[in-house]
Amino acid sequence: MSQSQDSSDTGLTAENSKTDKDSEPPQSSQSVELSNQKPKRTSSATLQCPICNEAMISIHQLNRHIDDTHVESADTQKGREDPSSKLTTNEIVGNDIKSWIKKKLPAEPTSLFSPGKRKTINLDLLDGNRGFGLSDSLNDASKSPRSKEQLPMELLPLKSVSPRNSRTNEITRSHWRQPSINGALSCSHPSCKRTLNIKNGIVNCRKCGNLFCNEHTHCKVRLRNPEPGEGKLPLYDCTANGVWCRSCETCYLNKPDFVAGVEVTVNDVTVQFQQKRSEFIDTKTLRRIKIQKRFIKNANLITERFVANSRASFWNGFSLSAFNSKNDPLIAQQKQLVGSDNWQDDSITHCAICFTNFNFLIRKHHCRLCGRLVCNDPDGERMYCSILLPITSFIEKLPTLNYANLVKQNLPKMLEVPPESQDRISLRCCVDCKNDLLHSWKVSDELRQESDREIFTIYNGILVLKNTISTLLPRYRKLVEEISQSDADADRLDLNKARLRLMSALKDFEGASTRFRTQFLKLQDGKLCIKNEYSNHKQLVLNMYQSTIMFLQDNLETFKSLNAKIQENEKKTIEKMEAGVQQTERPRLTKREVREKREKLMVMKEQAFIVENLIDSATKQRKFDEIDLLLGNKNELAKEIAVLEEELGDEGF
Amino acid sequence: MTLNLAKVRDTYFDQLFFKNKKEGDANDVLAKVLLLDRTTTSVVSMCYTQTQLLQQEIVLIELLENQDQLSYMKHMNCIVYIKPTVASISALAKELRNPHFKNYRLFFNNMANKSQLEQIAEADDYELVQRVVELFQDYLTINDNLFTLDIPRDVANPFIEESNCLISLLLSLKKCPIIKFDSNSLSAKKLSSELLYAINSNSNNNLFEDLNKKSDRPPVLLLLDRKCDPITPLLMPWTYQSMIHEIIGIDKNIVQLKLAKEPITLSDSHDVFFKESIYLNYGDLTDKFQKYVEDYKKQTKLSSIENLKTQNLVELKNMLTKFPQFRKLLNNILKHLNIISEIDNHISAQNMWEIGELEQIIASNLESQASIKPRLLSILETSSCSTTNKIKLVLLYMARFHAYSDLETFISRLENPGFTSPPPSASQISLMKSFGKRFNTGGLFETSSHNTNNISNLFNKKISINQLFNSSNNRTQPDNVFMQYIPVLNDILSPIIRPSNQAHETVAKLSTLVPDAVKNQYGNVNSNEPAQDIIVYIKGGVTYEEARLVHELSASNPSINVLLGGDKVLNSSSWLHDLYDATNDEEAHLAERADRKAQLRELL
Repeated sequence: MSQSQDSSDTGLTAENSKTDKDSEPPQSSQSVELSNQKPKRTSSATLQCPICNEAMISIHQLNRHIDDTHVESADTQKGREDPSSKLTTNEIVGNDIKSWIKKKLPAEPTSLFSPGKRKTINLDLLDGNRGFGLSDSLNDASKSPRSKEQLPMELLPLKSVSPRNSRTNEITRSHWRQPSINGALSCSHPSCKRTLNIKNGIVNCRKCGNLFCNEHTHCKVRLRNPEPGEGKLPLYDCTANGVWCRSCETCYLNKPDFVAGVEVTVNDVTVQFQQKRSEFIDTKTLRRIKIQKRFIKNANLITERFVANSRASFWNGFSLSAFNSKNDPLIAQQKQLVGSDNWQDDSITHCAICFTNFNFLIRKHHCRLCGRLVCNDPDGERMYCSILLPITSFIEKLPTLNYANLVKQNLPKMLEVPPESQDRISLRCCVDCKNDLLHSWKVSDELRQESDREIFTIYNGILVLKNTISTLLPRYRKLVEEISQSDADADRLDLNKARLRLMSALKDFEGASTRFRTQFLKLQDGKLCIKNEYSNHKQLVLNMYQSTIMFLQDNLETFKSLNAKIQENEKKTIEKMEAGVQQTERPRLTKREVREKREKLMVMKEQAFIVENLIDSATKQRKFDEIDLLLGNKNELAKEIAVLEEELGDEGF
Repeated sequence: MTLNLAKVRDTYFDQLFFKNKKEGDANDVLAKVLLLDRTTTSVVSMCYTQTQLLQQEIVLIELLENQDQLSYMKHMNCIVYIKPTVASISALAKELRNPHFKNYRLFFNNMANKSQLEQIAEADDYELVQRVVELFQDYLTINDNLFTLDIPRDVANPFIEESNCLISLLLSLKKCPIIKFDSNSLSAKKLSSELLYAINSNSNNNLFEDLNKKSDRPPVLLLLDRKCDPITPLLMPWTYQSMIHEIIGIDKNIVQLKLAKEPITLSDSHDVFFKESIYLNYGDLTDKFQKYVEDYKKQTKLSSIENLKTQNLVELKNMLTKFPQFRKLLNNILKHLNIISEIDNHISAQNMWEIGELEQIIASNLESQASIKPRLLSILETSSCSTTNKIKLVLLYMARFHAYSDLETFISRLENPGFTSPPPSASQISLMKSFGKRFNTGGLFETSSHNTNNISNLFNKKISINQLFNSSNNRTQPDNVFMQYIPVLNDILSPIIRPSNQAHETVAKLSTLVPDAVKNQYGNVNSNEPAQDIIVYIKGGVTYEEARLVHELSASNPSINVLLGGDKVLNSSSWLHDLYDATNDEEAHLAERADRKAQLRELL
């Protein structure tokens, strides 16, 4: 396997060396391909080298063989030998090969990093490779030895159609790095140390122009020429117009799609949604206003009648008998109010909301606000189609509407109406109208029962603290990092301030979380359980508590580690300062320092004494494993004592 | 890397829970509730942990359909993440008409059409919806490079459902691919045309346009049918994730051990050990686990209670702060210890070493029929092996050699209660009889052996060589033997990754469909161009073993990205069940036909 890889590399080289100088690139490379492929085809079972007739197992092996043994001679021999060999092989294999090649060429084999020989040849075909980096002008003039090769190329008829029919697409080469003629070049690939020569190949990356060996230019990218003002380098082009070009791995991995990495679609349709919603909202508000107006008028009418009736009832308690009759003037008024167009005709047989057939039991009712015919369904047997409600309950919920003075005056009186006779002041309306009417009330409704209010007030307090901590902590971290980078003392004040603030915030947070716990949770069998009175929010409270504790743990940890960092830092600077002082002169210790050090020394000595005692007792009790540790401690203590004593010098005891 | 589901997962997490904060209202400091539907529940549970959610103040997670049981909590913001199905949308509309929460952010995990948006817009009377976003996550993410679709069984048209899920996958990765499908498979063909239609028609919505803007070659969506490789799921796999699935079973990243009460969650994003050992073979795995335990011991020993006496206060403090970490580590160790010991028990109880070796030998064509047969017979006569393992071996043998004369011997051994208990059921026997015929596996074996000889196919060899050399410890001697088989997927992928000119008989015959958007960008796509981004979907199920293969392909070559998925993840038992069902169906079909014929005859 590795063999085949090598062979392909070298095969490439041979190809390159040959194509190098010719002025008609497509033919040349094809011809080379021809020459290389002929032997393969002549005997598919046993391949033979056309030059020395050595038997080969595979094409790749043959390629390698040719490159290894014949490459040196190729330059000199080709001029003479190649044409003849080609001609002879041509004669031998005849049209078979031509047709085979014709078949093969249109389907350009391509590959990513694959080291297939023919593939790269075709690659060169594709982007019109004329060699390896020599500019066109240099081509003919400077390198004489290989120009011989032109001869055999021209001998060959231009058989196959060049895939590059539009020369205008050719990618610019002005940026190509020139191989210096004398100096040894090496591949620009960072991990490749190969020198660039004929064997390893000298190939320009079409994108960046640097020189590479063959192995590192196996990739293909689509390029286009830069427009004026876009610099000199070719640019990536991902459309069909882009020309497939050889490139180095770096340029391949710098393709826009690799640079972008994984891209994720998020389709925000909020705007679309809001547009639609506003359309709906507009029509709805219109309707709501209409319904509201009708309601006000209805309320006025009903109140008028209520007032009239209540006066009348002084004289005649049964004047209401006409109430339900068809000729009731109120219904006529209401119909007028809705508009006779909207007032549905009695011929309708189905409820407008639940589409139930009206019958003897399911009676027709006109909604007084929209005029549709609906059934009566106050208990939601069908779809709550309509309901008969006292206007007072509406008015209570919608106190700010523009009612007539009469309504406002009589509201208390109407509220006193006993439930059994509320029919007098009631209004039939369908569920849609009811919802529309009460919409504004629902929006402003904060009256819903909230058993969880307590939980949320405490939890929101926690959240506020959390927010401050999560803003303070990064700031603090930044300060710490700044300080650890620079030794300046200037920021230290800020740092301390930040630390204090953060610390107090964390403390508050901790307090809040314990408060939360004592409020809602209790210990039961060693486990935290929710208190009975909040048991309907069990999951909620438990989750809240868990999240709080998690946050506390995480942040305390980072806070502590940051503090540790600072301490370390300070220690270092102090050491540095001390070292600096020691270097300049023998430390003249201040009195305070002397005192401190003396105290330290005393403590140390005391500890050493204790340790020695421990050692003694341990030896007595024959706990030898402990003795080892203690001895270690003792040694450490002794060292530190020695250091201290040295520092103190004459000032010691 | 241009295909990575972990990135998608993280981006969507930010979208769902984090990005809200940027708007910086005072409202945003509120606790949040997350409303899900059935589909997104599994999506979310596969992708995110509860800890992650709690960190983002998601203190309550509810099903949208349970809205009637919710209490009114106007102090909470609500995040709704649903699949835009009819049921979910109408439930959402109902919720918006009667809102329980302060305000709403809506997320869909697939494309919502205009009428659905309208329905919600109409329902949003109180203007509580602040954001409406389509995310594309209508699939389950298992690993970075492995997904499955979660298609409910009772869908009217599973192909449309399947194509919708795949569309969401493509959109989430911003890929508009050319579609290649196995032309031998009817279902792959149906699915491909469904997909093509969806992609082309969707270009009206502009979602699929300009998706490949940055790529100079179109991505490839490869639709395969499990039937083109019935062998891989039958073999005993020997890498960690595959083994867990094979022996214990992984359902949506959850493993339920027999003895343990609590189910175990596996996740490559939150469990470092699992992430590192997910593709390790069994030998390496045990080593790695040992090291892991030793590391833990070392760490804890340094600061164990006994040693504390000799340490000073500062270290004690450090130690105490590290305690929760150790706790976590210990839990993780215990988790994997349980799993590994269960696997180990199974392997030793079932003679898996021997069976596995024989499976590999048969499947990768290492020995002749004459030498395999006696080994197979001896296993069939071992009473400790389970019936299914024996059946698997017989199936492999039949697929490999088509030796129907031997089948009778095998079946007689299987039916001997002295050797096998319980004896195979009728459907198992009929499967054994028909397996060789059902799948034209003869060709499959030939091509795979042909490929190994073919030098141009570097790929195949590279991997097997790697496998032979990379493992170097006491237990790997058998492992080398156990991991010789390379799934057919490799042979299918390699000509796509590096098309060669030689007439290459691929295992599956692929047809290509090119969506309009791709045509517009690249002109006529030449099928001989090497692909760079490949999304493989295997209808009928994938195996973790194939996921490992795909992972190795991508890892060995940075310029190739392969993503693998299926409608489910198979292990051998689920695959056998599918096969039983298929044979039973077929037989029922045949019987029906015979009945009908008889009836016709009677009529005549």
